[in-house]
Amino acid sequence: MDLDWFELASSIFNSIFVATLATIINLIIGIPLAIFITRKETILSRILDILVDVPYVVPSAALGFSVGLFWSTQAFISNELFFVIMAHMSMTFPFIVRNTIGGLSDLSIDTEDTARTLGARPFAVFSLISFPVIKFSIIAGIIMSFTRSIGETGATTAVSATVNTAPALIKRMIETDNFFEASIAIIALIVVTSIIIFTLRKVLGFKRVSR
Amino acid sequence: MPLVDIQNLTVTYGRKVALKNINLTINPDEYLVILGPTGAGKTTLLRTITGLKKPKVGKILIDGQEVTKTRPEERGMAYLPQTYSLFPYMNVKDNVLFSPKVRRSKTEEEMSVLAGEVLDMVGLRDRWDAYPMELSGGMMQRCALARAIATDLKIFLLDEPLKALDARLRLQLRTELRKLVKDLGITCLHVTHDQEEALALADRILILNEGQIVQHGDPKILYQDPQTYFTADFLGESNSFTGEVIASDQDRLQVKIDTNDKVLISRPLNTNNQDIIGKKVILTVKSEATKVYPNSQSVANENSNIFRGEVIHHYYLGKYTNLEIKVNEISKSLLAKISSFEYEKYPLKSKVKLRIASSDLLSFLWRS
Repeated sequence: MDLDWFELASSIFNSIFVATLATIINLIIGIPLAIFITRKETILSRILDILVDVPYVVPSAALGFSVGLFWSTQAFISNELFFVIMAHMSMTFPFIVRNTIGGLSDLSIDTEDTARTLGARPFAVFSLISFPVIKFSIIAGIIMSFTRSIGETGATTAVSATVNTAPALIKRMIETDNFFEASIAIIALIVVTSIIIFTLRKVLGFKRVSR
Repeated sequence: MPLVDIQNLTVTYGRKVALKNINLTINPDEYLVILGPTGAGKTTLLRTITGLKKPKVGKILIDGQEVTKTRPEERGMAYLPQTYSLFPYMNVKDNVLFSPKVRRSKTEEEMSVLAGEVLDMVGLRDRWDAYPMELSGGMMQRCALARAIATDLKIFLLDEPLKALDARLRLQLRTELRKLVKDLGITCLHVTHDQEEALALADRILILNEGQIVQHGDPKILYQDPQTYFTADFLGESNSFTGEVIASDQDRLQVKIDTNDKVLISRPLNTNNQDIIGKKVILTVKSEATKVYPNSQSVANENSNIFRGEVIHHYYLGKYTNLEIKVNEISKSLLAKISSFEYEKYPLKSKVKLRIASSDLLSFLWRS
């Protein structure tokens, strides 16, 4: 099989698109969830704290299959790309939530309470007090979630036969004994992903030296 | 009109009752120290007043306005938790100006002047750009205090603000703290479990135990004339005896103590002295009011409230020394606090006499 450069480029684009969307959705849901788990002493928060880790132990293909099964019963949606994004989101959200929980655990609740008594509203407390402390934990979570999603194969192939992500393409190449093409695709994926991660670290201000 | 008025306040954590039916008023410019053992509900009381903990029952009024359901940021109180809680990613100046910034209560120019004034007040002007982790414990405490002062708020809630400091700095800062609070006309609620700190700082002390107010009042009156045995025993070091009332008149009680037939003469009960013959009481005397004499020395009124014993321990406390004296006739040890200049007069194993003036021996009805 000759390497189809257009197919490779579009598969890498698909991988990046899915990973980006999954990470953004994880950020939107995951940070409030981490705040709820660390700052509220309820039975629900304890149960959620345990459930967060479930995707770590469930095989990705099984998780993808269950996600596909759930969403395919929803009559209003039939887009396979949507299923893939949901599957990737389910696989990778523990990275954002667990890292954010770790960051929040380093910040005493007294500090946030003091800020409130000094006149700060809850959003100001988060943006001025909590966020600077948990920022690097969130960035670590973003990078882990993004890279895990880029490399995800099992969940993708379990929910869709048509969405062509880079790992799905590489898997197909290996199954058809096109090892040279697979190697090229892997190198291309590594190079593109490394550039994106390097840029992410620069843009998000990830520092080697901490104060 | 009181500045803070707390009515029938009950606070719970699940099924545990942390505060039970608290009624308390605090006047403008008053320095109220809340004292109590660990788990008494001191911090819960402060957190409920700030709005960080919701009460189950009761009302809180500030300046006549009910604030029970008002959010913490709208109550107008500066709260200093035990850990100071300086904001780690802000320098000293940004920490100090946090409240005016988030409240948007001052212009940039006003804030700059305010920061200079407040940092001068607490002696941190030359460390304005330091981050909390670069400060010593004393500096952190002063920075937290400066942050509270810069709020322009008139109620401070301080939760063990001097706890983490060494003894010398604690002594120095507590004097500065009271002076500052008084100079600025601030109403202050200060939680501590350090009795000496409470006695030195307070206009009024409130004693809390198991979520309930035991007693509150002038520090001197609380120390010398407590209304309850808990207060008498909690403040200072005491010697206690249980016994049965055998005679009573307006000025004194005669109590036969439980361990033998010895009769002690004490002050009358603070409450009802009628029909108390045969009732069980507890007698208590401060260790500094338990006078010690060498055995050879004759003591006035030899037959009244006198014990004979042997010195079994010295506890050297610097200015004072506590003598632990084994009294065989009542099978217990008593403490006597003496000046450290005197303690060589009472070597270990020396025989001594102890005398307790009946006016120093307080009596309370026994509640098992």
